[in-house]
Amino acid sequence: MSFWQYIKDGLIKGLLYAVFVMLVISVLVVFKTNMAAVWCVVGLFVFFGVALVMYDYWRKRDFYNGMRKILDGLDRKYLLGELLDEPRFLEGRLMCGALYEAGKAMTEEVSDSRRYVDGYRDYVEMWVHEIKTPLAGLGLSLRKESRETKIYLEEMANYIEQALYYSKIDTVDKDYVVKQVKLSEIVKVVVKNGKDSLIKNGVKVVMRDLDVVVNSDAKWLEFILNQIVVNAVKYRKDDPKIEIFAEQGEGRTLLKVRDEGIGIKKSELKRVFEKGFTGSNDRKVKVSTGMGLYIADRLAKELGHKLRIDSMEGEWTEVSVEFGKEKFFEVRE
Amino acid sequence: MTKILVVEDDEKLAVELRQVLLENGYEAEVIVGFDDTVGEIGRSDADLVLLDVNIPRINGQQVLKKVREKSKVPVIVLTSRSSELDEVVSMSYGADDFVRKPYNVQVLLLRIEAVLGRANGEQGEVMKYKSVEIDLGKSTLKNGESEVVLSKNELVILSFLMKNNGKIVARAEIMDYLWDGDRFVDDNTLTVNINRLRQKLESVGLKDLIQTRRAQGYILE
Repeated sequence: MSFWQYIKDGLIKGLLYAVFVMLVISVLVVFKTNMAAVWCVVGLFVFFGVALVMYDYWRKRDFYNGMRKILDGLDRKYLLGELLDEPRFLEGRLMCGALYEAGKAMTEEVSDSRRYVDGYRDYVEMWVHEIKTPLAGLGLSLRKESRETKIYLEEMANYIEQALYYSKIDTVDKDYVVKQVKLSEIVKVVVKNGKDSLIKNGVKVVMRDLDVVVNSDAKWLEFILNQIVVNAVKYRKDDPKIEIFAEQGEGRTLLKVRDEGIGIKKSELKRVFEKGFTGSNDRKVKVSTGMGLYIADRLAKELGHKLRIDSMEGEWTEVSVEFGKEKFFEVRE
Repeated sequence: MTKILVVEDDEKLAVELRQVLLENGYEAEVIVGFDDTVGEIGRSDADLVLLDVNIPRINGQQVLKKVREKSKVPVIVLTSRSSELDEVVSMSYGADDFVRKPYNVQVLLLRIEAVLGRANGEQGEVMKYKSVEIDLGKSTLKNGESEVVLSKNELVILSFLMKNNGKIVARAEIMDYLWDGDRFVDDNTLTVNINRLRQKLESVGLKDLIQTRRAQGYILE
């Protein structure tokens, strides 16, 4: 609260006070009071008027400035009520009390929301765990069936993994372990995971230069890579080919997946990792949730990696995972 | 015959696993009650145990620990939890290997073979069928005196056909087998590989060893 704000606010009061002083002076003059006495009275009125203003201003200014400072420094601004010390002037105290009550109610709701989300997260984890059993049973019973049939299982497994990893975004307890992982091993697992759809769709898979070690969590990386590969297969052209390789240089390593599919419009490239984004090419293929790359991108960020994408519409698409300078401490074996 | 004990509480899954094992030349036994899992494992004379981590009454990893106190029987742990941490914990309790749900049958079988191989200390380097001999280590094919070198894919394909001699093997099965062995061939490449293989067989006097059964697959003559 600046001095000018305070003055502007008290303008009416000041005006009334001035009118009052002038009235008193008028009365004194009408009653033919000694001019010296009149001037003394004026002086006293002015002096005490100013003193009152200064006193009032001084009380309030410290409080409001302090409040501003706390608010600016607070991350969770709804906690202001808890941190503010009660001021000595009445309006301030009244507001403070109200602020405290409101803040408390807010905090309780926030806790409730958090509890609800955590509960839901636990449920999803449990659900994923349980459903893997009948899925495994199905996989075994259908092992002699055609690839068309088995592809459904692959798709189900993919959506189930998506659900599991979606709930891993932004958790407080991070369940990843960063270690040295061999890219060749990760890629092999992912390719085998998508075996049925890769074979059925006649995709030529080329792996090269993957004899590289990076710091990451194997399971999380498998999930991220899987989302990229699934997309590469989904948005394919005739004679599909997917090339998976690593590039090293300038203190960083890149894992790249390049496909010769239908590509993505330049204007849509930067939106590819947005939650629920499906792009204009999606309608030509089949309805997609737009979640796979979003989750992959969020997870990559948590691991300290970066996802990038480039494409030529109608020709090719290349997605890279960049393993930069590590921000983590390695877990010693 | 090699006997495998299946410790899995989901009945349908246990039956399926048993079926798969029987189809692949193993003897299979399934545990029925889980009141004394450790005891049942101890009393069984199985050569290998497939142990699901999530069984009633007792934690699978505890079972493993207790079983290990008395026996060195090879154990492969089956689980749906798939984080690095769980793998590490299981292995530290004494599991020989670890397979995640949902199961890939080929992978499961390969792991069983690998664990049993390790337990018996055996290394199958040479495969024989009639007069044909393939050396897996050197990647060669021999018919009497004639010898020819096979490419990795050709070797895998021929050894798979030999393993299944007497049965018609579908192209899809060969593809699956190749892929499970990290050879990611597509349909066209498979055709090319089989043609080359046939040419090499012809060069050592085994012209019609691989027969085609239309719409069904291939079979060794």
